[in-house]
Amino acid sequence: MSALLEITDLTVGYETAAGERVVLVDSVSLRLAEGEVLCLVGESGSGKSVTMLAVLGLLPAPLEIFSGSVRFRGAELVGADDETLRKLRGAELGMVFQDPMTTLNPVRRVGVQIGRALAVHQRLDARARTRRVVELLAAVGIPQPAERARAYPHQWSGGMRQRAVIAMAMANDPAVLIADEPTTALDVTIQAQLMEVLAQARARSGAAMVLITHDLGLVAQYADRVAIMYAGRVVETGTVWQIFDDATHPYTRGLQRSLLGQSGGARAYAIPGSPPSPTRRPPGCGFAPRCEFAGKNDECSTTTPVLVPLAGGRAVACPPAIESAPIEQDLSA
Amino acid sequence: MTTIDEPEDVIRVDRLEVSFTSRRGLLGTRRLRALDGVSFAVRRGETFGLVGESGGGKSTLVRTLFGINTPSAGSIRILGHDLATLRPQSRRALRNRVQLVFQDPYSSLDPRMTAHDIVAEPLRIAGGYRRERVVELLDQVGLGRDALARKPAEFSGGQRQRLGIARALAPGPEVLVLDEPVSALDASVQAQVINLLQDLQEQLGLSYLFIAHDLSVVRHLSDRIAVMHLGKLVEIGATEDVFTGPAHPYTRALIASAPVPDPHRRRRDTSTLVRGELPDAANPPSGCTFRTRCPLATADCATRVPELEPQGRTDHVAACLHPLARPSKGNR
Repeated sequence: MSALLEITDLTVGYETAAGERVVLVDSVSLRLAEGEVLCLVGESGSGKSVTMLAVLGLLPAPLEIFSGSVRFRGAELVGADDETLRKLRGAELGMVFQDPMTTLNPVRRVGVQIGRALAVHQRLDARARTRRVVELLAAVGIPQPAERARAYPHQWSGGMRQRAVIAMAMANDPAVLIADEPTTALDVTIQAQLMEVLAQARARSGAAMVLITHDLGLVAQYADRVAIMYAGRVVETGTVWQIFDDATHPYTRGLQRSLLGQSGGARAYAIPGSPPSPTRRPPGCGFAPRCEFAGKNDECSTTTPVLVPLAGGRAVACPPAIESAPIEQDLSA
Repeated sequence: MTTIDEPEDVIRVDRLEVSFTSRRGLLGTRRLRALDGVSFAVRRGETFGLVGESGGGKSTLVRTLFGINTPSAGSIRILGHDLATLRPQSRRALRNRVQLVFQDPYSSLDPRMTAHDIVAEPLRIAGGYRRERVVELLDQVGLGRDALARKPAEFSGGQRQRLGIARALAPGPEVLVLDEPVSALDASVQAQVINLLQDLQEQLGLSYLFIAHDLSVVRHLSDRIAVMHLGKLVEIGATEDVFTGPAHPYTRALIASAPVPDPHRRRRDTSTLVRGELPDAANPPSGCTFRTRCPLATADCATRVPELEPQGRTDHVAACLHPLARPSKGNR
């Protein structure tokens, strides 16, 4: 299986004035196959958004890529010049961020903005471009798209704006759609509509998608494969079935156990403690201070566990969990 | 303050209406009815959940309960006292007995104050400051003595919300109004705060008005829930009755909209989702205000305003001309 997007040992962070390195994303490796939906799951500060900003070449200063590789269709993106990255973004890599106003220009008409996104990457005459803008808006469920295209972003609701952003992301038929918490800011009924719009738009075009989210509900509904991040590292990856039916890493299991069930009054399971801040990550396994295994294994707080490939294409970064799980290690990998 | 006999209902809201007027340039003034005939009661010792989308009126309701907005009609009784007729002095005393916990612990706590000062402040105002009481309150929320000298920035999000709860508990309230208390927290920390709220309720005999948009949290915590749509309550009932057999199509849509964290139960049927967006509150649809988004709307929904009516089960009411039938056992 050839990877469309392949991230290898990506390490991202910043250097303090004292010359010390603070690492936010630590040796992350991910593969995205053609047409696949990969959910990148983690809590705030886990490094999931920073990973994808690094892929897009959009890291805000002072963040930088310390090491590692990002390949898109085999071409290396780390160290590529701005022009190459700019051409890729919006054409091959579509983006949807949580706040539509990070994408939309408040003083330009929505239709004009989508038209410009088209013009940057495609040669179309003015009439064809207008027609395409209206098509794109209609495809994301904007009523009366021809008239609405003339509106400014502030005249639209949050849900409508995010539809416009999805239309813009799909404008050039990208190979990969990167959606970072695309519906988190929206109400639940609008969130459901938007996820359907996004999923349908993606399915129609056959694009692969990286969906960044903290919501296990969205993961279960939309993922093919899942990567769980904690304290800057990927701690478990697998198919959506492996992750939900048979999670192995204690953090993944803890997240699932803490999902609130239907039983009113019963006590919720809570992972003790809280996630470490990026500047104060513990040595060894980042999850060790909160983990049930760590008390029994000295190594947890001294040695950083690496992802070990297991049978069925999954991988887990937790030696004690692998030892106690009835899963064979994949020795061929 | 003289206490009237212990009322069964700690908060009782009757036909509450709150309107705002805004000037719109040459078009003159617009009147926006943020709350429209809202009636409900929070019973002593229970958790009453209030759900609905933003723009539905949840925040207006909280602000009105705490005297920030003034009702244009209807009444609010808190612990048996009618807010409208209460003298300012009694109103202040009553305020100690009903406390508010905010969503965002980052912005509701003064960043320059220590945990000690944050919790001590309401004690001093109420005239009951003792250092030991501060320690006791911090213990109660699971923070402990070593938190005393720390400032909000030194705490994690979950700890900050614990601090906010300790501050709310300081005046010795009987009722907590919890406005999205866990929605700013990470998933792994949410459950801790939810458990804390349940423990405190049990230990202190508190009553909760719990406002949230996350249905799984509301379902977990609430004994009864009310569903709000565009300034009106459209359904009230025991939590499990409402979740397993919603009578109002809006309630059903809210439940169906929440993504189920189980890949074996992927949503295939999108027909119960709402279409379109919340209508403009300043220019609401005639009749039932949900009809423009409702998959079951008929012509009479535009002409008749539905009232809350019993739905077969005790205490279960809904405002819909065509309420959904309760599914037979075994169905969802």
